[in-house]
Amino acid sequence: MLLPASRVSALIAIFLLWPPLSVQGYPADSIKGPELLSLFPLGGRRGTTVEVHMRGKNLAGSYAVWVDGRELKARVDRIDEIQLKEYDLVKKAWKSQPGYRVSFQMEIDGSAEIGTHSIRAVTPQGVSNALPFRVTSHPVLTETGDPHQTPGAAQKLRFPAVVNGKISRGGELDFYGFDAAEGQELTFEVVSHLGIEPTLTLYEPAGSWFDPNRIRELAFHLGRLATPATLHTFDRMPNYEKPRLTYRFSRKGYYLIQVGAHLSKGGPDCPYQFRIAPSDPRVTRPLGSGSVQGLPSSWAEFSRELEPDRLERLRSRTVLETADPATPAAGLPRLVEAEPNQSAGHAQEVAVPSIIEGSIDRPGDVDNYRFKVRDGAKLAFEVQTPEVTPPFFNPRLTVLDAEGNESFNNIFRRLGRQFQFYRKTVEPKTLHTFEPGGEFTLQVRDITSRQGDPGFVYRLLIRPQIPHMGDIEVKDDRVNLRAGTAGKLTVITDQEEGFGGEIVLSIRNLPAGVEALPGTEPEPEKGINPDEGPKERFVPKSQKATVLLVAREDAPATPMPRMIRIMARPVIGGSLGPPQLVREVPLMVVKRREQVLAETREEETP
Amino acid sequence: MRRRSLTILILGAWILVSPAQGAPPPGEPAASYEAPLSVRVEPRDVTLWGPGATQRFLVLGKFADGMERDLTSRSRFSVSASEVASVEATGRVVAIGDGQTRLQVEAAGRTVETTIRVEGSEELRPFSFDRVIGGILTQRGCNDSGCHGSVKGRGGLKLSLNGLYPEKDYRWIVEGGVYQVLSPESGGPRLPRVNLQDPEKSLLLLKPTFGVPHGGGKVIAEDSRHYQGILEWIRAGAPYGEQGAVESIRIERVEVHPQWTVLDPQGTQQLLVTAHLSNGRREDLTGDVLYVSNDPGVVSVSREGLVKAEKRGETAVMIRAAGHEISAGFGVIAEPVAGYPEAPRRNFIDDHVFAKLRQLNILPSEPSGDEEFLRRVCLDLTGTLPPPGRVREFLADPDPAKRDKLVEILLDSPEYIDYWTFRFAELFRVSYENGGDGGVYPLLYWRWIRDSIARNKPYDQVARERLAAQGYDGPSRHYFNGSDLRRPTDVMAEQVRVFLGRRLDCAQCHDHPYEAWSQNQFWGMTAFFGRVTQLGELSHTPPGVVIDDPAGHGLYGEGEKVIHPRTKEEILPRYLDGALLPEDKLNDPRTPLASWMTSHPHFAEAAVNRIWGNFFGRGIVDPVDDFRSSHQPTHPRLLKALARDFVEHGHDLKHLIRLIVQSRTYQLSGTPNETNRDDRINYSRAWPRPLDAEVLLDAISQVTGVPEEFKNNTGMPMPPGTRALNLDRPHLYPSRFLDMYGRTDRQKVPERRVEANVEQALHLLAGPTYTSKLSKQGGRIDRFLESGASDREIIVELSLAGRSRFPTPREQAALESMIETRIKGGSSRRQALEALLWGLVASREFAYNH
Repeated sequence: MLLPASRVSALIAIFLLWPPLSVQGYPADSIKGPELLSLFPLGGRRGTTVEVHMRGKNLAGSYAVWVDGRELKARVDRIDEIQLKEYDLVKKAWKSQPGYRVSFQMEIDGSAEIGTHSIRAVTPQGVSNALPFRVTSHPVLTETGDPHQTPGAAQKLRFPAVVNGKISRGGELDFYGFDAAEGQELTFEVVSHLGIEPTLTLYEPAGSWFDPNRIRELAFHLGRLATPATLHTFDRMPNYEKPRLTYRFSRKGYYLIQVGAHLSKGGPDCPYQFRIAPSDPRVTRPLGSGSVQGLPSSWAEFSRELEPDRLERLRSRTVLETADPATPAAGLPRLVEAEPNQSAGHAQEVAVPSIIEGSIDRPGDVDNYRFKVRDGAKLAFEVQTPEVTPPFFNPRLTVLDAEGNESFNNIFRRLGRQFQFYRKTVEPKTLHTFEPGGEFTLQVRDITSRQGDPGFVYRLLIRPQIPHMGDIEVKDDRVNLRAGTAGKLTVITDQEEGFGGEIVLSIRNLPAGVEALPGTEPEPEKGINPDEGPKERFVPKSQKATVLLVAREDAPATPMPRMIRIMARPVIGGSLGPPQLVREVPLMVVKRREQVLAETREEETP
Repeated sequence: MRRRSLTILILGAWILVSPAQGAPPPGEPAASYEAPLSVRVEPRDVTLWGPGATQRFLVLGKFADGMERDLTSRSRFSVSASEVASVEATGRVVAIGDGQTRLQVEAAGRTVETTIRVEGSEELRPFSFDRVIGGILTQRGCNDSGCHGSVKGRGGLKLSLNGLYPEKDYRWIVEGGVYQVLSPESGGPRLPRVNLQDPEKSLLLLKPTFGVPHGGGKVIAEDSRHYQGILEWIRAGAPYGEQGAVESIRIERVEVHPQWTVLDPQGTQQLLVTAHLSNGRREDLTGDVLYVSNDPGVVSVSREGLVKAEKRGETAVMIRAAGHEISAGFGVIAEPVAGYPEAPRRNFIDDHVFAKLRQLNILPSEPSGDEEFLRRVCLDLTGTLPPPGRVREFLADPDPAKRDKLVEILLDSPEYIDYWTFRFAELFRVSYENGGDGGVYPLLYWRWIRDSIARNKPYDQVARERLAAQGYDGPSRHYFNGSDLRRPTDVMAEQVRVFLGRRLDCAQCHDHPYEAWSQNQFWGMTAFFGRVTQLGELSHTPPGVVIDDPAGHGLYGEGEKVIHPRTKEEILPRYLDGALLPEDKLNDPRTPLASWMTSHPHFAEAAVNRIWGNFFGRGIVDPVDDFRSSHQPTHPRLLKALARDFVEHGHDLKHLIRLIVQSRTYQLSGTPNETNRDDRINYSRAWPRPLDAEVLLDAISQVTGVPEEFKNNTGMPMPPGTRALNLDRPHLYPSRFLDMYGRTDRQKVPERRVEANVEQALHLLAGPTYTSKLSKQGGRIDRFLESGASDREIIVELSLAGRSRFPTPREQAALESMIETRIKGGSSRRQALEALLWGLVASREFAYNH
């Protein structure tokens, strides 16, 4: 059932309306949902058809593949029962459990968007998690069926090329050989997903006195680091985690690139996609880039985009009357850093609001900017690191008063909950009220005294504070329901810069027989934190809401996932702001167990 | 008041002018002392300062056998101006009046002279507690580490080691109280050790004279000058010193002459100890210090500093003055070698080593043969055995420069990078301790080391990068213990040990019990690391960024400041030499510290000593990272020369390694001669060294042709053929063999001193490394069998592979016979060859570098 937008807000304005349901008291969703572990290959070229295999749990009866984007079409060919192996760290032994491999044909239209697309399996148990499938314009190869795990057996490549490969077992190394010209600079990239963290090692087959077949290492690159291995993180990983290796060859010759895995991991669920191409400064988009549908960039990270329309976008997340009338209606002035500005005496004048673009070119570089504010001005200082990001470039902002004394900085220091260490972070956004106003100097530098590089680019926005609705995070990736059961969506809302209103959540595009109702659940005990630091300057206020999705007893099954749309809308003093799409999440209502059994009996009856 | 001051002045002077007591030197074999080539007197052109100042003189004769012997007791002394100074028969001169005189010495029929000037003979030198009372306490051993100078003191009285902190000693003696390690407060009632009303009843006198029970027994006689000195001091009111005078004439350093002496059997040598004062003058302390022989079996020493040879060997005599400790080295030789040959020398290493061997009458062994050299240098530079083809090629090469050429090849090889990465990864402790971020931290750290070795990064740069590391990179990972930061105390002590070769650890809780490291020095150095903190957490800022935060370390409970555990005061960064870090450097304290450390002479000495130890199995100072007064360098001038050369060549590790392996000293044979059979410390021959566990395992894999299979703790195997040397994070790869043969867990700065043990012996017989590798399909034996090689050919090939040499005819015959016998006894040829290969890899010759 698709509810009219006007009704939805009224229906689930969770802070104002219906008495909430208790999640604990509601029938639990007993569905063992399908779970994808891997996909092979990880991508294909536009205008081709690729045979793809998905492996995972609870994939029995998979009958369709859901793909984002109409330019990709998939058709299931066959389903095989397989054994999935997992290492038991306690027993120190491998254990097996039943699993499935679903094979299908993926047609990639010539107009398909280059980048990452999401793929899900559709089964009688519901819709699976998403895995990324990458579409490229480069020629795509599959690693040779012949062993190429030694330098001598390396698979020969011409570039540019994308290779779909797999680290089939622990300790496996795949070698690829290629010819490079003198002075040529090549870029190598490799991506994978949950199974492995790929590594790249570049070699010269130069031999040694001990072993004529010995290869000499020229460069090494570790794949993404072991940060939380979720799809969400994967496709928005910061630059330092992007598995890209660039190398300039000092002499013409035959070279080897080796793809391996951190900690020697490997197995049937460890595919990778490897790209080799001449370096092109115009190409900044790494192999793994591209946002997955429904996952907008965060509003409070170094990676968010501070574009000239930033104020407009912030205003769209509040109620218009609260915007500062002094701010320009559109297009922020832009100041480009000009050296020398190493000292306060050489500070560049900057208007408020403005966007400043500069870089910490060398270790110890400090950039100074001077600005004036009126008494009581409430400003926000936002910084973005579009190229090199933390942890390599950690921009420290310091604001000095006219006497050169530090007024504030963007380091948030507070006590960890274990009471052992103080946690310190460099924050991408800092709020400050200038009481009194006057002339101030803003210093930008790397927090270490050691780092600096032309790639340490920053974009800095000085602007008035705009109370607004911040990040809204939906914790759940998919919802599978049986008729007569409920599932939940957990939503975390941030309220930025003193936003004091409410946020109305609504769900659109619900299938027939499914309702969205407000719910509650107990907050976990966090204990007392004796020193939370000046968090009001750095941390938005957060609230958690629970939306229960209830399938009525007579709710019809949905053969394909329905993308439900979670919307948020600010409310201040009863006035409504514009609605914002938070995320799209696939939802399926699957057949009841009795229904499935009855249908099975019916089929079996001659 | 005036009378009291005068008493103090007289008291100080009295103690200083009192003649030294002691037995006359014993007689030496007369024949050794006849007809010296030259005679000299030490010191020369002396200025005596103050009333009754004294100076001992030594007379040294140079003889045709190259030895310099002490002729003092055989000399006659006289002075030209008796109104200026007098001289005793022992060569001790006493100042009388201002002026100049000449000291004439007749020895072995020769006469030598030197000038003596006397100044200030009317000026009474101000009394100072540290010089006078501290000197007595030191000379009598009262403040020794075994007595009141120990950590907690003895019997309630705590004195600083060797009088290092006289102000503290003064308070404990005069004010009384019981020392506590963790508090500056007294742990008991304050009972002064001096009795101003009845000085003779002072505990400070009753205890050492055993007037009351004393755990240390009787150490001072009532009629001694030391007793009188202490008594007069108490009678004078037990002052600390003349106000304003003490600091102006403190002792800045103490030196001994001779610093190194070779003694004949039964030979003697008088030591001469001189204090250099802050006013630029010198003072003879020979009779006012404590002498202790490190090995009384080799040399004994009298209270007056007369050293006597006891048996052949080498040791040092420790000399302790108030607040100072130095040493003098002694070698006692056997009968001289007739016609000692001149060995060819390749570089200055040989100059120093061979000069000392000459002094000690030890003949160096012959140069090593090509086989011996080849195996040794390959293992030392790359941790890898040369393959049989290369052995044949090298042995057949007639080029006289082939050794140098090989060294260059090895230094440029990828195996060199592997091996020295392994060496430094162990030294720098790449381990699970820095295992944050899912094991990525130690990999980053290891990669930094490997890159540094591959690029032959100057060692001082390596040190600076590690000491002053900030940000998210390899060297900064060693500031972590897991995902948390290590304590600044641990980091500091490790840095000083690794880069300066000194162990300060003991001084964390108290002044070092054996060395001159104080608790204040420890904490002053720790404060340099007291601002190291971590940035980030798992949100938008990834964790693990190391910075120096002016707010402090981040350790809760310490107020984020470095606090002295005893005084509870905040400690500011202070260098080991006592200099305080300027305030404008406080924001980045480790950068100036790194500069200070890498430019300190200790840095280069510690570095060359450590590298030297890799090639000779022991350091010039040994252990290589334990420089201390009781661990004197065997070749101090060589150590300094190597350090100087290292600095002059930009701290280039390859240059240093090349210099060492090109020296004749390194290239000497391991076969001993009659004179050097027992020599372990003078590098007169190559000394067999057990292969490190990793090198041994790789060597077994190499010779058997069966690579080791390493599996990590998640059950994943390393890529086939991965060598033990190349395990970037060894802690992830369990290996019974490696642990048994001495792999370190790297939880502390590693020291590999593994002795053969029963477990190894059992493993040798039945362990999988020695058995399954032999029988595994596809190994070297299979290849032999497939190739149709004869037994003779196989024996030769295996000998070349494992020992880098051809078998001797006798070995060849015996091994062929063994194979034949086994086959006749029912074994298959494969089994017989397995037995042959087992015999090779289980042999001492295989398991050692020699």
